[in-house]
Amino acid sequence: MGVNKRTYENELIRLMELYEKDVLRLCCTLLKDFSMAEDATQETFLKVYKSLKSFRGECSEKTWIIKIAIHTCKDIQRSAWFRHVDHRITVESLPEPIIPSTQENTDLLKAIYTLSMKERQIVMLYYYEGMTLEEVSQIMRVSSAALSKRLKRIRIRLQQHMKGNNDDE
Amino acid sequence: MSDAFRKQIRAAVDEGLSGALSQPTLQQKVIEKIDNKINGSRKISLVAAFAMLLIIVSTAALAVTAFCNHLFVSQREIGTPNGGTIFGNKLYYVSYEGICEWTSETNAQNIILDREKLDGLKISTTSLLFHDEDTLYLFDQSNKKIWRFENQTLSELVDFTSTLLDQEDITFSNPVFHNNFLWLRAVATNHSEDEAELYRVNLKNMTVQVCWVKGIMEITAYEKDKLLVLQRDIQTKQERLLVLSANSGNVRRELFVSPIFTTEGIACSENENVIYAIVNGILSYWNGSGWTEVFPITLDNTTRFYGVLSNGYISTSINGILFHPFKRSSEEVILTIRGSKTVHNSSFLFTQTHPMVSISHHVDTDLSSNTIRRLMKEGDSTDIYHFCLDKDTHTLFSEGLALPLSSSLIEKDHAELTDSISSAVRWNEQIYAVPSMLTIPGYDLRGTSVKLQHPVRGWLHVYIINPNSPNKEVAIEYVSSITQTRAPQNNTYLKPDTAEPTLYPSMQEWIYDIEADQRAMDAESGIPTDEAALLERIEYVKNLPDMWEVTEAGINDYRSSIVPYLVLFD
Repeated sequence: MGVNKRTYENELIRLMELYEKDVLRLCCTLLKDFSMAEDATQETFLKVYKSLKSFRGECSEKTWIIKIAIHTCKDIQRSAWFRHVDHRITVESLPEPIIPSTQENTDLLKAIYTLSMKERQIVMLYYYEGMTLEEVSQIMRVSSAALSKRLKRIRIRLQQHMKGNNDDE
Repeated sequence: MSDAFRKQIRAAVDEGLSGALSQPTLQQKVIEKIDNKINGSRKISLVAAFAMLLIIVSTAALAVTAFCNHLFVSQREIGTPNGGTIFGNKLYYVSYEGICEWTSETNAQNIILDREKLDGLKISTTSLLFHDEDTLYLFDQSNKKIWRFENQTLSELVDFTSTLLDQEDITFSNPVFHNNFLWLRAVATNHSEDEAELYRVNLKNMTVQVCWVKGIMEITAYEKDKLLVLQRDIQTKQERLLVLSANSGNVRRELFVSPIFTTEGIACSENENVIYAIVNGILSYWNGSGWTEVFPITLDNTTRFYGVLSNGYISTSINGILFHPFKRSSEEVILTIRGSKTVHNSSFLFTQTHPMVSISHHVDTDLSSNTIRRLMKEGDSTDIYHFCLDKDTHTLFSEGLALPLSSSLIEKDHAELTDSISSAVRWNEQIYAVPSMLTIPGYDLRGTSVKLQHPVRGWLHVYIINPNSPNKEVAIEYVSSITQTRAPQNNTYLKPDTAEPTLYPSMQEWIYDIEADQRAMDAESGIPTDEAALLERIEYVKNLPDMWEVTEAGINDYRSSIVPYLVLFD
């Protein structure tokens, strides 16, 4: 058991070295709350640790971990605590960026935060992670056709939001 | 438009979250939680110890019996090997144990530098090994340093911090040192595998260049001044084996082009420069104008490294080391399968329990009942076909173009299939096909997916056996084994009436540990176990999120909202 535990701990460290930032980025975007995102990231890797033995290599490690992270965020979102916290506070509540952001990009991130959690998942998987429609549809368990329609809607909404912001100025 | 939009979204997210992502790593916190949650006490009861002993004994027995045509050394025995390199006819790799070597002759892992020493040098577990003519090197991609391994010690050779190698979002793999350059496959975090690039690294002047050739899947050294790369183009679905200059990284010539992805495991023998590859599941060598088949190889789904030793072909995966000796047993049975590959690791698992059987899987994703009929009429002797059931499949059964199947496993499995699936694989009261998986686009057993419109179209993949199969008995054993290796979700789709909620295997093991530990502690203290408290604790754990691979609610939802409306043909 000792050998196994150490083996799995080392494997976990390897996976965290590779994917911790990806998971934290995803959780931050889905939960819109940095401390919850940190909790979700920890929870995700705890689940990864527990599931290491059952990982059958049916998808890439990264896809597997992203799936777990998404489920974890969904669980947190469903929790009573999450429902009683004000999630309108968004971009500003994140730690101070260390890369200077243009106004246009800040607006775009704010626009992303106005989307539903499912839509934010699509944005992160398709646009940010660069996954194909098929990969995203497999992770989200929706058909490619439905996903394609959603993508179109998301694009329009983000563009409208940004246009609206510019018009306001 | 889409690309520009994608770039803008990435920039917005990267900039906005740059502060959040610069926070210290959470590794330590996670490890602490693991220790608190799982490692409370480690006293193992006699029952648990006996169960573990059984596992160890069976694993060892597997390794010995499997030596006939392939030898598998499991991760349980040696830890997960990270990548690998062949040097002096030995396999070298980094595992959690340290830097290790392995030879087929001894079938033993030898730790040449232990983990504590690597930890002392802050060398990460993602490090990769490579070698020049006489020395082994280690590339630590976390710290961007290259170390030389000599006299049982590592010494720092170069530090690539602040060079092109120092990019946090790029993962490097497949290091090859050839013609005075280190060549690496590089995949950016936000890019797919088919966008992998080739990096050329000069260890003397510390320059790093990105070669123009893209879509690199594998790299290997070839002849004095050349590289071989396997390149894939997802758009055109073409696969190429390219010969590159090991000086410039430019393409010299195209050795081989395939219209579908059928090739993997490119490796060159250390001295003879013979090119090996697994083409359509068969280890083959390049004869100058095409591939000559050697023998079939069934790889583990998680394979990461391929190489050639003087006496066989070797690969490493998350699950261990797989070695295929060139000298084959005369009793080897080659089972041939044509059709799509299953998502499960079924073939690999079958070869582990049937060491005299090798499986040759010819990938044919378009296989249909009509194609099978045509193939059989042309005298095809493939043992097993794996395809998506269609409206003409019953005609295959009625025309005698599929072998009636009978084995206790198949019959038991068949009796539990839901009616629509059961009747689809049966004709005239005979079973002709064994289902491998059912996919229902847009449906999820978790019940979190979109609502479907009725009727519900399901895609059922099945195995049938060719009546002209030269290996009927083994073929029946193989399709029987499919009934035992399906994932719980697939079993639920196929057999909802008998489906039961299923914990993830690791969760089941965790619960087993909790119970075993409690009983062992109580026995040690000489007190009776508080059964109610133990049950309550187990129930609490079972109710934690994401413990169940298949839930009661998911099964009920599937039974009521899908099963009555399931349609298997257009």
